[in-house]
Amino acid sequence: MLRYTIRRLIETVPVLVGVSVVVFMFLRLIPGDPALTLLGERATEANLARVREQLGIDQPIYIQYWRYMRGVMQFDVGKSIRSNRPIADEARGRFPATIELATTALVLATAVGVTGGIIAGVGRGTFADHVARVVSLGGVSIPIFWLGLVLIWVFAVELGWLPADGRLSASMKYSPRTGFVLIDGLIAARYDLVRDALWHLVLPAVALSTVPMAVIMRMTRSAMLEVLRADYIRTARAKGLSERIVTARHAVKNAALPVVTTIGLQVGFLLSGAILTETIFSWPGIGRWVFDSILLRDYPVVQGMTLMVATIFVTVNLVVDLIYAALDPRISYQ
Amino acid sequence: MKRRQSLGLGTAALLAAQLANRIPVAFARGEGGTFVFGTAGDPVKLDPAVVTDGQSFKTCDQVYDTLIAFDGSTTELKPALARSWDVSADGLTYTMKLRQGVRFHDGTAFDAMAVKWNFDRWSDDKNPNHVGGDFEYYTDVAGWPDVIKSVDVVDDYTVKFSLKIPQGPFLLNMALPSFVIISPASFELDRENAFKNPVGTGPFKFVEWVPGDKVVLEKFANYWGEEASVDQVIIRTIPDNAARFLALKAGSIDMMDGVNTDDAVAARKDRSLSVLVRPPLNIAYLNFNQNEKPFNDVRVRQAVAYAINRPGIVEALYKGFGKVATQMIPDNLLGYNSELKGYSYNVEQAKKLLAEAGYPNGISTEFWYMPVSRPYFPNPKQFAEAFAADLGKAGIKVELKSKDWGAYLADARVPKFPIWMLGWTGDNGDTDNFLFTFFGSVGSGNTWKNDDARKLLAKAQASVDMTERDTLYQQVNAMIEKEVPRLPIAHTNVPLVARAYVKGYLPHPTGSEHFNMVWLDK
Repeated sequence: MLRYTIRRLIETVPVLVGVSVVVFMFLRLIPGDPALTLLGERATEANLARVREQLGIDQPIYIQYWRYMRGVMQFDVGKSIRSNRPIADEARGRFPATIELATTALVLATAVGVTGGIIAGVGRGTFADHVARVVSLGGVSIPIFWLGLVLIWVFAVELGWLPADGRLSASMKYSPRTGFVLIDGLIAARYDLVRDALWHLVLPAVALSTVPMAVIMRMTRSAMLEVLRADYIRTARAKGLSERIVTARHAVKNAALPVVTTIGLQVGFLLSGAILTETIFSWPGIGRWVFDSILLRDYPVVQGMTLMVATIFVTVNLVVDLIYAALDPRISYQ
Repeated sequence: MKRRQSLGLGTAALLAAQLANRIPVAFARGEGGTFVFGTAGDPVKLDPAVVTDGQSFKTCDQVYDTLIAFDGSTTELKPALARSWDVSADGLTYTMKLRQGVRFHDGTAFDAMAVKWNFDRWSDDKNPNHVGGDFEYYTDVAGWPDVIKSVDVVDDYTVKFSLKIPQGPFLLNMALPSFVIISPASFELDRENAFKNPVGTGPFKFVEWVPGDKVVLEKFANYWGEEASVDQVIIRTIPDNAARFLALKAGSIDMMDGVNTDDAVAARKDRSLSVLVRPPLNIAYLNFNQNEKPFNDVRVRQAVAYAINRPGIVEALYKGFGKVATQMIPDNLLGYNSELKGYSYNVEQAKKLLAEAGYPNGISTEFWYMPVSRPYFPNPKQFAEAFAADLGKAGIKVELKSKDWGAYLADARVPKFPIWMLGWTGDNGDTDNFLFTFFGSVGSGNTWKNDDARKLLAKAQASVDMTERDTLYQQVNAMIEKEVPRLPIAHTNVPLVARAYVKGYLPHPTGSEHFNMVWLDK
């Protein structure tokens, strides 16, 4: 197991190098000059040349890439073109916000999706199954942007139950330690902070969780249907086990494998879906930042964040594979 | 005549709107509270000398002061950190008397040395404090490297500016939000991080900046000017316009800018909200590539001017937040020529001019529109469709095209487009900032090769005699009307929406607004 993990970790290196090359090249294939975007309608030729030199974008592309990778090796992803500030500095403040939101949405999507999927699978053709199918179809069809605005309209503007924007109330005082508000609040025993943070998490997490929730629900339902038809379920029933034990101990555990894979893949969606959710709910995370940076041709920010997201995605996939072994004794990694 | 009417109505409406907001100030001005302003983006840096974005200026305007400031909602000047100033007859020496007893938020004294320190920081690239970014306002917008020779301390509270050449808008430039006096002591303490710890003399002290979320400021009790009414200001980042409007309706913010036109129209009907407008200091226009056929022919450009129904388009698409432009400057600027009539909507005349130019069967061309909303063109694609429909009726068939904003700007500079949409928001309220920027030199999107106009613009730029400048700009405006190097479309009144209890807010044409005047009536 340990050797397998180490081997997989080594294998991630070429994957990440590949990602960095592709992102680096693609960004430079998009038309648009960062120097001009930076200086805007007011740029003069002399200024443009000076800024291009400062940014190093007057150099051949392979030299730019080499300089960039040399920095990355030393854990330095460079400075933002727009703000001339170290990317790591800004990411430190924003990353926990995105992770907190994505994790909450994932927990929500998994809880609702798996439960709904099991109920629908077990009670195929019942009312609960129809509801689950409508919900899962709706979940993938409704655009997050629209749903987000509707949620704000209903729950913040009309009912006034939940806040419309941000991660904390504007007047809430908070000095970050880990950057995760919930964790910081619990460490410092500041329950007002935790309550305020949870309050603000509800709407964006619901909006962000809809698509993964729907996908997980459908996958769980079909996996359950398949498993429930299997011979060993018939055997279990024949042994006289109660339907509850058949479902909980035999069916769910066996249906879990494809569901775990699906949940792992949703992490990618959550990180990209965060762009829209963060925009609508004014969530100070990386999603909106990366989006703006693409428009502004802020190459280093896009590169740095893509690399970071790719790392997370690769790691999650590794974790999923390791969970397999725990779930299914037939799978072992040598 | 036409102009006087529109000016009269516009001014009256504006005055009424602002009086409604200001009158209570004299009677019962509320004290205390937190004013939350919602805006689209984070500041880039809180070091105004090296930024150009409105979001950074919005915060910096509260923390810092300029030497000279804009008065109320106008681009007239009033003393700020400078008490008074004298100009020599040749326009080459300015002597400024500074306000005494002013302190920075760090407790150090504001004096002539501090002024010199700031100017030296901006101008001298060998100065150890010339760090933090590009000093674009100093070099490009004000053009001061070619203008300012030296800044000298005469005594503790007197500064002398010696110029290489006279500059007409020199004093107006002083009021630009980049040219604030920051605390030398605080800056030198930590040059690297000065941009996130702004220390000035303004009505609010900086408290904290949470990137992507908010900037918090608190009232500075020892402010030399009008003390702030509210105790705290929070400038909150809410990127999406529609979401920001919902946050305002939900009451989590008190005021916002960047309002969608439809939301501004809805807000006018909502009694819990009030709509304020900035007096226009912008222009939406069409530009032509006069290096090539067909727009090298003045008759074709005139045909475009006749073909587009500007009053109809302005009414339908700005929905009451814009007015038709007949010149390339708003009518409250120096050099606006009230003799000029502009082009009326006349399809037949357009067809006739096209035929005279050798295109009896009309022309086909590409028409490029911006991919992003700007205050002057809030929804460029809708405008482009309206222009295309009108041009089509006159026999000018256009294919609508657009591309990514960065690429669009680059191609417009060459220019690679035959005809395209763009606009401009003024910086300092001076005509030079419009007309010289557009036509002062050939290149950067200007293909109008009119040497006479360029000479007049250069002369007006170097003059400090306002009457002479007025005459020169009027002449240039007449030339523009005749030759249509660009076609003015509209000036927009950029709206702001607030909760009805927000009082005292004075919208400024440049967008530079001070929150110490704001109070909350709740």
